[in-house]
Amino acid sequence: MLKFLLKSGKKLEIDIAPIETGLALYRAILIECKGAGLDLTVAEDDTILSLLLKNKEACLNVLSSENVLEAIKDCCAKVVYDKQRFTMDVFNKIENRKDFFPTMMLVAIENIRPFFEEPHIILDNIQSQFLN
Amino acid sequence: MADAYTAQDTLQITDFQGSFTLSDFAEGTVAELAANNELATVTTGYNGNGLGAHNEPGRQRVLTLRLVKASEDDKRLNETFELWKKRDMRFKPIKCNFTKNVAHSDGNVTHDTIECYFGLPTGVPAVSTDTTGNVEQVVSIYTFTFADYKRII
Repeated sequence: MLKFLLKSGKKLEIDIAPIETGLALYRAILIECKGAGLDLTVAEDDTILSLLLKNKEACLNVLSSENVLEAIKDCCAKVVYDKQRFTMDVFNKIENRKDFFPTMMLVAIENIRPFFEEPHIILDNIQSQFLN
Repeated sequence: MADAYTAQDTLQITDFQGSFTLSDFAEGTVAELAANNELATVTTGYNGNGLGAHNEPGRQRVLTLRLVKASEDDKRLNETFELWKKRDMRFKPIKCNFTKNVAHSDGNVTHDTIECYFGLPTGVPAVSTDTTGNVEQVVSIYTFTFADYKRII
């Protein structure tokens, strides 16, 4: 189980979903990136922000995708936010909503990460934006 | 006396591989934590004198878990069960952490957590085949006995 402390001070616990569920998420993201002109070349002076801006169309496609959101939710069966099992109702509370996107992002990153070899510099950098 | 948990509650177990959150639940009450022994023995002596003594086995809790047969959670608990049965040195007594969230009228939520320590498998998950539609045949029922517990609110 992976444990994170979000910027709000709430604790997030993530168990990696079974391979079929993780793979479905990975494929949902790839489908959204397809045709968006993904550019993953990294120049010496590139930053995470410049990389994201270079691929802003793909990023917006992924962030706005209903299929990606559903695939992430499928990975949340064993996710615990603030000692509560993950449901959309938990984030219905106004004070919890600021943790919704960080939670989704962390669940997505942790479920995709095992498919690739170390190092995960880009994933680690994105992840650090959401942690305390 | 027993605490009952449903699929809405947060049930976590720490075994020899680390912590995991249970999610492959059967129907109804999926976990029950029973306290089978009294914490103290009290009697009344001559002239109404109170006589009492600690009963340490009163700290024990017995967990009954109802999981979907052959699910991921069932497979993982079965590994612990098999390690214990075979006296495998990798076995570690399990720890459970069960949380109920109690909502108040002012919008606050209180976490009512019971932590149990040193859990050993004491019951054997039954295997049955039934042609009359008995759903119990697709449920694995585990029984663990814990040596001690703590309630945190």
